[in-house]
This record gives sequence, C-alpha cells and structure tokens, in this order.
Amino acid sequence: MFKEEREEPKFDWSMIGDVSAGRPNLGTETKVVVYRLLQFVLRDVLIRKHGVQDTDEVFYEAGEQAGHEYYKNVITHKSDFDSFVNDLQKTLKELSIGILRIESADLDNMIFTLTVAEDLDCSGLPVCDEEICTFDEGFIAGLLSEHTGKTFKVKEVDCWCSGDRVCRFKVKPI
Amino acid sequence: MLEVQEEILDKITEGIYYLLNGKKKPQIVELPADYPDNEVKQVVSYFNKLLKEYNDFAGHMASTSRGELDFSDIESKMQVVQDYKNLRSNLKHLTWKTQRISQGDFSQRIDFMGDFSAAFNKMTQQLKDAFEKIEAQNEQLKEANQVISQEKDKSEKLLLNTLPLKVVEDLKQFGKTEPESFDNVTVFFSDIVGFTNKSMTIEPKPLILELSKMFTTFDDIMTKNHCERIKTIGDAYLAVCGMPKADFNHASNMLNASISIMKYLQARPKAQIDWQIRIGIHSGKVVGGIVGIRKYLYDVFGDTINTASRMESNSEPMRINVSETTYNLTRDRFTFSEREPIEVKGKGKMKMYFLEPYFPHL
Repeated sequence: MFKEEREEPKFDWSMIGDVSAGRPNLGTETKVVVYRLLQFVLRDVLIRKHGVQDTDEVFYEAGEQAGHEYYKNVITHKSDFDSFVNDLQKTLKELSIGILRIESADLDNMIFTLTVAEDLDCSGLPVCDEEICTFDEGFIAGLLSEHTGKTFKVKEVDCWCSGDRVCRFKVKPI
Repeated sequence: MLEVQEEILDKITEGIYYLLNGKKKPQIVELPADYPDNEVKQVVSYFNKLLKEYNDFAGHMASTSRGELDFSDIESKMQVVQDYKNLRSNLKHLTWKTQRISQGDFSQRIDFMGDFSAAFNKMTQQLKDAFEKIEAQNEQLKEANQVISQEKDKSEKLLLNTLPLKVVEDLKQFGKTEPESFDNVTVFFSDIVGFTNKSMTIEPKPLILELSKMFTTFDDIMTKNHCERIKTIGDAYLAVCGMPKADFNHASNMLNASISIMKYLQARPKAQIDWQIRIGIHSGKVVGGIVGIRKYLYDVFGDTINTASRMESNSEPMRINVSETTYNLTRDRFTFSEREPIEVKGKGKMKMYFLEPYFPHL
C-alpha cells in the first residue's frame, strides 16, 4: 500500500487514516515544528541525493497532487470561484495552514496574485534570500487546476525567507 | 589615514537633512569615476542605495495614499517596505472582498485584521440582513400585487357582467361615461307567455333557477351573434345590437339570435317546463348611458325601445314579430310573412311581419 513500487500516483485520502481512533490521547493535531522537521529534513536528503532542481520539482509535484486531493476531499463549496475561494480561506484557517488572501483575480484571463500570511512552510524561518515555498506553489496550482480544469504555473515572488511579511504567489495559466 | 573631502560629507549631510525634514527630494551623491575604492566610497554607495529605496518607497506610499493600489512591485528588503507591502496586500484583498460583496456574496468575511475585521464583518452581516429584509418585503409586495391584480380582474369581470365593454373601458380610463346616441340599433324584446300563471304553481327557488338557466343561454346566444343583453325585467328580456359598438349587420345579427333562441326553447327536454315566448324586434335610434351614481346600471332609451316592446306585445307564442323598419333591413336575407296592419297605441296602424319559416308546425 504505502511501499509499493509505482509509476502512477496511488495516494488516496484514506491513507491518512482514522487519526482520532489511532491517537485517542494525543489527539488529531501536532506542532508546526514537526511538519517543518519532516519537510526540511526530507528536503535536505533529497538535495543531497538528487540536487536542488530535482528536489524542487519533487516538492512542486507533491504539492500539486496535494492540491488536487485537498480540493476533492476538503473543499465543499465548488459552485463558483468566489465560493471556492471562501471555502479555501476558511479551511486553510481551520487547519492552521495559513491566511490566504486574494490580491487580484482576473477571471477572464485566469491570472491571479495570492498571498499567504503565517504560512505553515516558511513564516518565521531565517531570512536567506530564497523563495522556499515550492510545495505551496504546487498546492495552489493543483487546487486551481482541479477547480477550473485548466493547468497553471505558480511562482512564488515574495517569501518570508526572502525578507517579506507574506508569501506572494503569481498564478498564470499554461 | 583616510581622507574625506568636506564636500562629500556636506552632500551626505544635506541628503539626510532633506530626508528628515521632508524637504525637497534628496539627491544621490556622485563620486568621480576614478574615486579610490575605499570606505568613503562604500559609505556613499550605501547612502545612495538607501536614498533610491527610500525614494521608491515614498513614491509607492504616495500612490497608495491616493488610493492607487495597482502599480509595479517594489524592490527592497527594508523592514518598513515589507510591512508596507503587507499593508498594500491587505488593502488589495479588502478591495477584492468588497467587490465580491457588492456582487451580492454576503458570505465574505475578513480575518486577522484587528478591530477592522470585526467592524467589516459586522457591516457585511448588517448588509446581508438588510438585503434579506428588502427581499422579503419585495416578495410580500409581489404577493400583495398579485392579490390586487386578481381582485381587479374579478371587479372587471363583475362590471362586464352588468355593463358593456366600451362603458367599462370609459369608466376605467376617464372615471365616467357620457350618454351616447346610436342611430342604427336593433332592439329585441321577449316575454314569457303566461308566466304569471305558471309562476304561481312553481316554488320561487326552482322558478328563479329555471329563469336563470334560460336567460344564461339567451346571453350566450346573444354574445355569439354580436348582440348584448341590456337587462331582464321579471320574465322580459331586452337586448340590442349595434351599440355601443356600431355593427352594419345589427338587424341580421338580432334575427339570427332570435332564431337560435327559438330553436333552443324547442329543443328543451319535454320533462322540463314548456316555456313559450313572444319576440318583438324593431330597429332605429337608441340612446344609451349609465343611470345612477352608486349602483351602476346601463340602460337604453328612446322610441325604438317602446316600438320593440309593442312588436313583442303584438307577437304570438313562439313567433318573431318584426317591425317594417327591421323587415326592410333584412328582407333580402330572411323570409317573412306580412301581417295585417295592427293598431298600436300612440302610433296608429303599423305594418308587422312574422319571420318565417322556422316554425312551420306552430
């Protein structure tokens, strides 16, 4: 199931398991430090074994798949763009992932500028002149792709790591 | 020992002075191209970079203060610039949210902006409540309008049962209707033969029902032939053709209606009461108008009405007696038998005709 060799994605939401049943005492939540420990250690190993570019591609693709799954399993209001964004903001807040805001949305041309404040991936990291939220880039691309049926390229232009207060993402259709 | 030219220090001091006092825009300090690569050059370089980033920031701030949010990104890592970008991002987000609300999406909310979030969300909720209230009121208004419209239709139908269409339209449009004279009208009068005697042997309720049923059929026949009932007086039935709307075929229409009425009475099941009527018809000038101001009643007046009544009283059971005037208007299309002139009160001897041959067995 988890360790099968595969050519196609095999992730299924059920793989997350019944957390309440499995953690009756510790509960369903954990600390940001745990998430970051996992992400940055994983990034560390991947960079060592495959280099920065391939590692970024892995994170982007994983984020994209997560975006598709999140849309299918978490988002409930999908009738129009406004409802979808509203629901996305609400669930991202409830799950403590980040505070999503829309700076601009050109629905005719599908060009967006989004910001995420208090981002789970990066807010509070040391400033290092790098845009680090590659997983978020893919995540946003996956979400929008699942909602619109189009393919998007998402680029982070401002990040906490590059000295900004919020992460800013430019979204364009491919 | 490092040598510093006083002129360079003066320029840096001047720039900082302008910066601190909000005076004119400070200028960068330019050094000669061959200036040695030393600490003074480094200070000037950082000073110039600070000035450039400050000037960019000041330009963006000025635009934002004018409400302009759409402009190019600003390149600077200064903390104050990052905070400014965050502020601008929030303002743009608020603009987007407000646009959604203006399009009717009252589910939009703002989070994590301090007191502003609470005030904004409260305002949105109040807008939603007010909008829903107006919607509900509009719905009530719509329902009330429907009821009014239905009642208006009922009133109009009721009016049309008692008044001619043109008179109803005059009343609706002008609130009144003037008496009007019509030159070419055919008047129908009928009376039930021996009604008084028969009515004494029938209970009032079935009698009224019987009359109502019969006169309703008369009404249908009149309408079908472009004629209009004016009134019933007991067992008498008065109808006209050619008013208020002129009708070139007024006399023929009325004769056709009379024939249909006779056929209807003949065809009635024998088990029912055998009503027989006399019909009298005359054509001529008639005046029509509303009588009274509280209980509207449209009535017709003139010698033509009296003569039609005389034609009826001089008719015979189940026969249609027409005056010479009506005869002359219709003799090419109907068959008549001329009667002996009859003395009519106030008019002398008058020629009359029975419409033939519809009832040869009588």
